[in-house]
Amino acid sequence: MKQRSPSTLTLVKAGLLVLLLLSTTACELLLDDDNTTSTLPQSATPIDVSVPGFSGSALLVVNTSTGLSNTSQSSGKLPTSGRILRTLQQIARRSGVCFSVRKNNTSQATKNKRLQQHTGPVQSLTASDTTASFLTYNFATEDESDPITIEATLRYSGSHCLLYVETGVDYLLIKDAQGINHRAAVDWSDIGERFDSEIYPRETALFGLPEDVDDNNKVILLYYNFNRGSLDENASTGFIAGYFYPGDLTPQFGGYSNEKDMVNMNIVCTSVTQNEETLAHEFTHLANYSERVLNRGLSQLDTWINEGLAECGAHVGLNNPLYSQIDRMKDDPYIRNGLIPLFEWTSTAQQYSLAYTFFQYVKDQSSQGEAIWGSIANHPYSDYRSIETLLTSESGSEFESFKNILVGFHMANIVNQPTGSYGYKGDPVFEDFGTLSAPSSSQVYLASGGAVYLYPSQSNLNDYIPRGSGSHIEFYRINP
Amino acid sequence: MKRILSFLVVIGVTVLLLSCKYDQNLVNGQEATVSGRIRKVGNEPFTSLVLSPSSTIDLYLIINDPDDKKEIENKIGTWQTLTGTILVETIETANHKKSFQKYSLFLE
Repeated sequence: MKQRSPSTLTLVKAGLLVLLLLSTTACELLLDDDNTTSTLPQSATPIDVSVPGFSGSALLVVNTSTGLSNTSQSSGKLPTSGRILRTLQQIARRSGVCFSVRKNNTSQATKNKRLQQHTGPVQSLTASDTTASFLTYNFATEDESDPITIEATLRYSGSHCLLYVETGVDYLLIKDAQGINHRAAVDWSDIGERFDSEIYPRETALFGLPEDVDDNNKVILLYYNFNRGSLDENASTGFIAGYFYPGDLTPQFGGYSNEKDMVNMNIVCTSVTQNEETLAHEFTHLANYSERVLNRGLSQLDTWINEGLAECGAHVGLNNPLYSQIDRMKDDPYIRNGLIPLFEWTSTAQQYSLAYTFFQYVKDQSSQGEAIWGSIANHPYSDYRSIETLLTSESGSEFESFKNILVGFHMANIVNQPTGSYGYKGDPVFEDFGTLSAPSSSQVYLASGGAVYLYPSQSNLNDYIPRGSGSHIEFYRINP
Repeated sequence: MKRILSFLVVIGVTVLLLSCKYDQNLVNGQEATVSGRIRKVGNEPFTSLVLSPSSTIDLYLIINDPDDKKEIENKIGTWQTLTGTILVETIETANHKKSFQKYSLFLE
């Protein structure tokens, strides 16, 4: 007995150890090994990078925080750069369309009210329904419980869609540079046929099928003028070009519901091309929400990923890169001054550009190509870890962490090497991308994931010592 | 010896079951203190603030006070501990073919 006691004690100790390990593992499952802040390692000491294929020298300054709000941090004093083009104020005056942030401010009373709304069978629309009424979001009040009713007429019936247009409207309103809208005749059949033959098959192959909640095997495309408050066609210079409302699929989720799989399109646009891109963008939201949330039961994606992938959806659906977004990267005053965060979504036009370009980089770096966008969209992780997990696990991956990917993306924007992680792998879309503008100020505040690109003289670069920068700011000297 | 091993197995299984069934601890109407990452999710203009204790659970934050909302928005991306009332709703598609549980945390 005496001999057995120590061994029993040892066994109990070992058992307790196993228990401890088990509970630790369990906690990790519970907490997703993520009960830390998302701040990445920091360093203010410049990291020297040699890029033989890059003829010049440059300085990259990055805020490597992955999503903390209020973490815009000072770059400290930057060296003089050779490519200061314009002042921030000068270029801000000519900046393009800006999307407003629309927040869900639904009150609890509204949420209780919406629970009582969902009754009765779904009303399916078919090709024989030449007119129909739809509930639409009220942009004037931004209140989901206060929708606006739109009467619409069927203009196209195809294999995958029914296209309705606000009754009495047979045109698009093309907004010019001065914000004045001009009526442009449109062939709705062209839009419908393009949706049926290109957008729908390409996007559903990548992101998944839209949930057919009205059992008619058709997606409703509703075109109307969003400017309802004033009915002034020239009312706004910034505008929402289209939207997908999840409440239309799942009545309890929103303040109103059409109980239909549908997207809403503004007849106001900057061009027919932009209108088509918006249609493909909004359809991505519908397909992604259907597949990810309703079919797979996964959490909704972070907004920056959600919107970035929707831009990629437009790219795939139209089989054409969104050059307007890529061009904005080159000298937009906000982007070049590092003011645009990648991870913290504030809904500016520049953020769409940054997110889209980032996902282009991810696509070019992945062996999956465009398919990685679908993999991200339906990954169990709903934040940056999906990208990290997918790219770092690929065979022969050059990435070890998300920070590698973030820094690689910004490095690519300067040196754009045809191979390796510092470029777009020869993607012709980015042929002349290695000349992004330097900031217009000698000290900037970098938003999370934001960066500035500088091109100091060789001596200025070699002598540069960062001073007074924030804790998340990292410096990369290229070819010192 | 057998009793000890059985005891350990029972304890281990209990710990695992308690830990992995997080969503079953979210009871409708109950006050709860939950730790998780603050995120902004969804598509524009219908984004929501959520508290994510794990990658499989999101608690949609219902905040009526605009100042409180602003404060929470300034903490996106950080790990926070919030106290409020749990609301559990069954969300289903219009044709009732698919459904999921939506968890909210009502911050008073």
